[in-house]
Amino acid sequence: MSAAAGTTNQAPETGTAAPAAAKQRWSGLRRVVAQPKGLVGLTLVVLYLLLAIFGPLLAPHDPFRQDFAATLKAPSAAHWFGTDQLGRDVFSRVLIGARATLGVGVGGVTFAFLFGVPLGVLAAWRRGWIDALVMRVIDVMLSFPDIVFALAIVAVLGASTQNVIIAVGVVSVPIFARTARAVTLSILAEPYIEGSASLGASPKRIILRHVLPNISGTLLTLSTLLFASTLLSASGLGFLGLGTQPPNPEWGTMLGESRSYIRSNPYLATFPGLFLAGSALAFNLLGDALRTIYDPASRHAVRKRPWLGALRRKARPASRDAKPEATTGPAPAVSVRDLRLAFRAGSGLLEVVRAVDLDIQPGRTLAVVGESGSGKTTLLRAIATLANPEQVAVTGGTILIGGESAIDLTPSAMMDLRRRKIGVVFQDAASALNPVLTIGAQIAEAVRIGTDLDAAAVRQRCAELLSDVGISDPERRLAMYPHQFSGGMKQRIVIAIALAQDPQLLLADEPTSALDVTIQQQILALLGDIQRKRGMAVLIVTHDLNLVARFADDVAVMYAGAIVEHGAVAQVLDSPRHPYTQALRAAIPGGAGRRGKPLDAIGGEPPMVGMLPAGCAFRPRCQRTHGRPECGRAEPPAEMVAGRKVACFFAQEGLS
Amino acid sequence: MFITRRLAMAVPTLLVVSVLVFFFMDMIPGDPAQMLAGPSATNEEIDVIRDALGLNQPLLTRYGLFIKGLWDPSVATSFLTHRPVALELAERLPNTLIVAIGGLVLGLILGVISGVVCALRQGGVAEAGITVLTLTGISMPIYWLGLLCIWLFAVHLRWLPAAGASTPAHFVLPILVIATRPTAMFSRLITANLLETMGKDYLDTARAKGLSETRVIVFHALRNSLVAAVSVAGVQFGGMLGGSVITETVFGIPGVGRLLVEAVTRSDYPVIQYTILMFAIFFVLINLATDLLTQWLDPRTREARTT
Ligand SMILES: Nc1ncnc2c1ncn2[C@@H]1O[C@H](COP(=O)(O)OP(=O)(O)OP(=O)(O)O)[C@@H](O)[C@H]1O
Ligand code: SF4
Ligand SMILES: [Mg+2]
Repeated sequence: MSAAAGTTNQAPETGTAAPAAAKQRWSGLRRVVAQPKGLVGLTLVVLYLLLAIFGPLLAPHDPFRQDFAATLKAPSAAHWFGTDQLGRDVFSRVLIGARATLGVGVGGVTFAFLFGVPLGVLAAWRRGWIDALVMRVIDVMLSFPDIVFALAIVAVLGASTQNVIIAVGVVSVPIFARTARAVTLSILAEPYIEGSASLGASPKRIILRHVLPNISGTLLTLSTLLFASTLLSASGLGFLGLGTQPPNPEWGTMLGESRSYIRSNPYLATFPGLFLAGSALAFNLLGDALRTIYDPASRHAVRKRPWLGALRRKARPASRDAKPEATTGPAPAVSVRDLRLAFRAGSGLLEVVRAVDLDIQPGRTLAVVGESGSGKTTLLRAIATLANPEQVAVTGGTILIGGESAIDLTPSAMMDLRRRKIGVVFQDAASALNPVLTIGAQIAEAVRIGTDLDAAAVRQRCAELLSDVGISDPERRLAMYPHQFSGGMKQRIVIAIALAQDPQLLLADEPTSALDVTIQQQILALLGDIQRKRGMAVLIVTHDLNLVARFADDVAVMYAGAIVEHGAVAQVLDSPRHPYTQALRAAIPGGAGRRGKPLDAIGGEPPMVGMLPAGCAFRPRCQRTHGRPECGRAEPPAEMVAGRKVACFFAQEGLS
Repeated sequence: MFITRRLAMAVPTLLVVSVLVFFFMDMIPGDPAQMLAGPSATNEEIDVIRDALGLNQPLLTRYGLFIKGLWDPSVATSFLTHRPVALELAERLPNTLIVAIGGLVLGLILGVISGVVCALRQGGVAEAGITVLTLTGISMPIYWLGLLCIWLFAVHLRWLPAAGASTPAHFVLPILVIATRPTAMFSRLITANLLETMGKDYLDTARAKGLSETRVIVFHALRNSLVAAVSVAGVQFGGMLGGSVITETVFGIPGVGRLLVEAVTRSDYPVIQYTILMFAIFFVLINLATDLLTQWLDPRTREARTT
């Protein structure tokens, strides 16, 4: 079993050559030992197996020889683990007991595997009444606590090593059958299997070629984990005196015998227990390591926090001198200077937002546009103080919200800032609402914090908020759950939550791209209305230039983490000066039909994070550079050209 | 409706289970009457016993009688003590339930705390420590841990009594020991669940309201793990009821598990039958309760249930 299941042939193609299969087997092994728990577990498992094979040869004494002159002796040089109540050498008995103990585990798992897996595969393959029958039998078997079921089997068959193997094996059959069935079902549903079935491949061939190799990883994991629990149940039966019968040594039986002497000779229980717990731990460790490899659902377990992150964060590059600009009018609701944000990656910091400057005055709307991956979300989340410090480092610059810094805050200052000044609307309203709480509870939470309104007033305010965002019958709707609303309604609710604390700054990350066109219009009109009434500043991230034209006052165009053109919408969109903006503009020929489409119609690929070309980041795709050396030499600084800021050395040429 | 459908599923399972347990008597090699009578009994004596056991009646009548034994104490008596099985069970059940419920509650509390710590301190010393501890907890043979604890707390330190069930203090050690496995299970479950939930947008929506991180975790993230925790709690509770056969032997608690082990060692078949049946009924009911509770806790499925 172990050899066959050891292959983890992930490539389902027919006709894989033997060497490839062997390579895959080794890669599975490599991935196991790459994890500390896998390495420790595998080493221990191998040691235990060696012990089971060679234990009897190593025993220094005859494990059955009784010596009534030397009963219950403490460990000594002659008897490393002491002697038992009959004067037998415990060390020798532990060594010999390895074979019986582990043998029962191997036997039980093999039994369960041999009966359970074919049953499960058969049920999944034939479906229909066979499947129904197998599932019912499994149901019934799982209606007994496993150790009780095993006890019943032993009661019927009598206590002996062989019967314990059958008992613990039968108990695990339904587990194997259920898993094999589930995995087989999912594999049979794969298109390539359906394909080869329609090409006339025989069922036997499909099962042998496709199903077994693909479920072997899961089954290997399951076998290893079940081995640990089977070992414990089997030895438990031994402990109860229902397993291996004296005088034959088995760790569980030895523990059971030691129970009467726990007061006078506790070490009698120490050693067999230690070996037993160690073997279960070994198989659990190995099984856990296998699971991280073969079970995609548990893969996040390998996720590692870069522990160097804390150190890196200190190493901020010297930031450019922030130019204090002459402010016109009132203090901006948000003011960002030379902001640099980097993801902490395994290999170091990846800078994704580079030297961003922006201001939004109260009552105005700034739209941030740019290709996918240009850093818009990262920027917005940092301004919202929602960047996860374990993932994102602020490597330079400042963010001021209503004059207060939003960087490096204490938790309570951050909570306070979020409460008083910031509201956030996410792209996907469905995932922005907690599915298990009523929307009333979720809005009330925002209303209640920092105020001392009584329950009736809170409820009143929640209802007002809902009617503000255009939801009728608010009283009744407060008691409903998110899944009971349509997408557009959910987004209105998210907006209601964002508005609950009268924010000075509303941050919206593609608030409408998940919605259809009419709903988009309604939501935008709603946002515009509310903004006018309350005089909020709004920062909206979007892909949609038509939306920008209709909704925003200013626009900032982002490319590869930097703002390349920034100014009033009318100027930037009507007469763009940066070649990237021009390309964006050209990609939507005045068409309402392209609304919401990603900005992908520009030739070339955006640069990879952390692999920017030297000089201007846009150079490889630029229509204007014509290979001029300036473009490769340095990054163009943002300068005022024709009433907006443009980061291009040749912005003056930009009149198209 | 979901409840009726789920109940309708449990009834046939119970029926099959009871038939299986009923036939258990017939699966035993040899004649129960002969075994009960002993090797020196005459044929007439065996016949009398066979009659008394009802073994001569038709199968269906015998099954009916077996089922009647569930509520009629006069039907089945222990071979050993000659007392009604129902009485034996009723006397011992409270001890078993106290240990199992105590272990479950303690395991839930400890498991949730360590799970949250583990999820929030990924990559830290605390995470490594808790991971090792949970794996050890799952690998620990309860009977060995029990013996070690008896030695330490009862023999060496003399803080707690070693065996019996006469005072509340007697239950402390068993509950502590039996809680290891559920603690480890809940801890791993909560960690995995929280890590999955941690990246969800709705947590950021909650943070943006200005809530404290504790409230975000407890009220929003943990709340979502509750559903999964309930089904694990069901499995663990059932497992602990079954595990009572071992715990009660280790700690000398007069409970249902101990009763079963003694009955098996001494071939007291009526006791074996009814104890196993009782365990199975408990198991089916626990599964039923977990399923219903899971349904009810998740508003999405709750909705589907009423429409
Ligand atoms: N957790 C992460 N670790 C490392 N890099 C990341 C991580 N999340 C995002 N990135 C990278 O950071 C860059 C900026 O991502 P961001 O999500 O801010 O882009 P975006 O402009 O919002 O894109 P979109 O329009 O697709 O939403 C991308 O290149 C992305 O690959
Ligand atoms: S600086 Fe050069 S490469 Fe960059 S946008 Fe301007 S012309 Fe193109
Ligand atoms: Mg984004």
